[in-house]
Amino acid sequence: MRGKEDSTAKRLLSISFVLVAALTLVFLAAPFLGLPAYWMRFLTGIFMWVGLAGSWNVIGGYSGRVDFGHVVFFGAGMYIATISILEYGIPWWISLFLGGVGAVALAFLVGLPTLRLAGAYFAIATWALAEAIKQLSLVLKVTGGTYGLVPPPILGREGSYYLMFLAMLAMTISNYLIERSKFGYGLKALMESEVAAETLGVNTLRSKLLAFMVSALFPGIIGGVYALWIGYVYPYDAFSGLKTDQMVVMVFLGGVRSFLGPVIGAVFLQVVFEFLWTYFGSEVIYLILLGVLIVISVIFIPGGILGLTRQRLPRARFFGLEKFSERFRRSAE
Amino acid sequence: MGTGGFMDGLFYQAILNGILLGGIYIAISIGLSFAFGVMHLINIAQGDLVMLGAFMSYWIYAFVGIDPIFTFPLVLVVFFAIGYVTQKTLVARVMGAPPLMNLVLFFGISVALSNGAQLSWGPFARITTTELSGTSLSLGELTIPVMRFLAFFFSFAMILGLYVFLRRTRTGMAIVATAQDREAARLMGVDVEKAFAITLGIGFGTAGMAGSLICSVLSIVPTMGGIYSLFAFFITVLGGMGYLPGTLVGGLLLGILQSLIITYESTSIVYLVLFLVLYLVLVFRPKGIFGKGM
Repeated sequence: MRGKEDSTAKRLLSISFVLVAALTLVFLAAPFLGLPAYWMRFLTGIFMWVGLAGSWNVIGGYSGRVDFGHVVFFGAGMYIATISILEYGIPWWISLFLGGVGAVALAFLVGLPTLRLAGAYFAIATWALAEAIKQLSLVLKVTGGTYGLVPPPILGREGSYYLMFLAMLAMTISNYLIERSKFGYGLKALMESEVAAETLGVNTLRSKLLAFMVSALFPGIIGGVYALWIGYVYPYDAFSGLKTDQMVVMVFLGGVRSFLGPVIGAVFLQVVFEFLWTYFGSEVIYLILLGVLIVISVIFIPGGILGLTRQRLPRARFFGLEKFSERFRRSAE
Repeated sequence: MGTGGFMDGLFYQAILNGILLGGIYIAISIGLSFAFGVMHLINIAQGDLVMLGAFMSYWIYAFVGIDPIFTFPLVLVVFFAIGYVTQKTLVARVMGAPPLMNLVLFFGISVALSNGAQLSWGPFARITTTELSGTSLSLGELTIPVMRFLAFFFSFAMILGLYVFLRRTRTGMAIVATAQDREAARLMGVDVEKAFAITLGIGFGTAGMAGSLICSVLSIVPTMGGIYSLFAFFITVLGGMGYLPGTLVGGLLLGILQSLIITYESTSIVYLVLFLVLYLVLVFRPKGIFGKGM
């Protein structure tokens, strides 16, 4: 019986592996096959948001710390990469790397005092700090104040597309691995009871700090890519609270604490956004919907869209992906 | 800028303005601190409720012509009802869920409200000017604008009313008991669910009333919710979350601080200072300056 289950799981694993590999190939080849500029931009945006939402899932999901200032790492990446290129003439790929490292360093410095705070206090503190940093970037000289900075759009359409795709892939794989690692189980234990986790030998502050730093890495890199893609960096965009809001909604809507959740949430919301933008030409309706969706998902579908598919729909329709994650969910419990 | 020394009329006027402004700020934050104290609920939509209350008063003024300063009782009652129903229908469903789910719930409400208001009323600032707006009393060298004084007065009257309600009525005492020990209160026959609903009703009602008061003395705009949420959190955290007397001190402190910065420095650093102080207080004194928060 047990052996049969294992072989089913192996088969499902290989099916989804083939599926992911095929999708990757399609996305990698698409620009060569003459994908129109509009779709390139659209997909690049989706890749970016899957990456960002995935990063929020690490701190907000796996370690259960609601971070209302996560955009800080994205903005830091934007400014660090831009300043490295403009002021010091550092090659772009090193600048992107520096953006990621800078964001991780910031997470370390901020996390050390802030992660000691209880949940709700942590949420307010991260929000306050992110807003303070935005205000700071409005008055500092090195960030160009309200006018911001203009980095050369070195990456171009293709470069941004591929880099965002890689970042998304790396972030999602990283989440997949975290879910199955000792570190991930430690976070899960810690989220349920910090005291119990501590007695069982989980170093709580170190685990939380590590999770915070991991969650800062990709926003830092993605921020740099974004800066070199759009070629304009200014405080109200780089540190926009709305970016954090979207990450939170994408994670909760898709399914929190699952590597697939942010992917589903981000794709869903980006498609909805594009649709509303095309038909109404305004962001506001999308934002109202954003708020309504989060209320609905918290009240009615706490497991997000992913949780919904587990309960309601026939399993076979999801190419085994659903059963596959279900199995791992069970083994994680 | 002052012509004389630092301690001249300008300084005292700035302090006075700060105190009057602080009175309104207390009304903004009292409901936040109260709901946290009783229900451990963080209403991050507080600023957006203030905005909605302000617009309700504005529209009453625009259509019926009643001065916003006198419509706050109506706004208070309507917002109390909304809060009561919100607790019964939405919040009650997440009370048993992981503690941060209610935070995320109110976050969604906030996003929906502020953007709904922007869609409905556009990005413009509005201001109400009535017969009372320009009038002021003088007190030696100092001037006291009548509207600001009234707003300050009504705000304190509301707080006094809340105090009497909590100390002297059965329902009020039931709420205090619930705040102290939820389970013990339940065992003593307190209808805890009702106590929660009234608490959130008071939280919403006072926020709406604060909006009315703001509408009568300052300009209002659909995007103002974020700033007033910041003010509410600043005051509540400074005074100690859930510790109501701390809120009084926090409100006056914020009013005076803001008034002094605007008088002597440029306004552009106000938010930087507020956000930084808020962060630092949270990290170093999470129980507030008196150490009496929860």
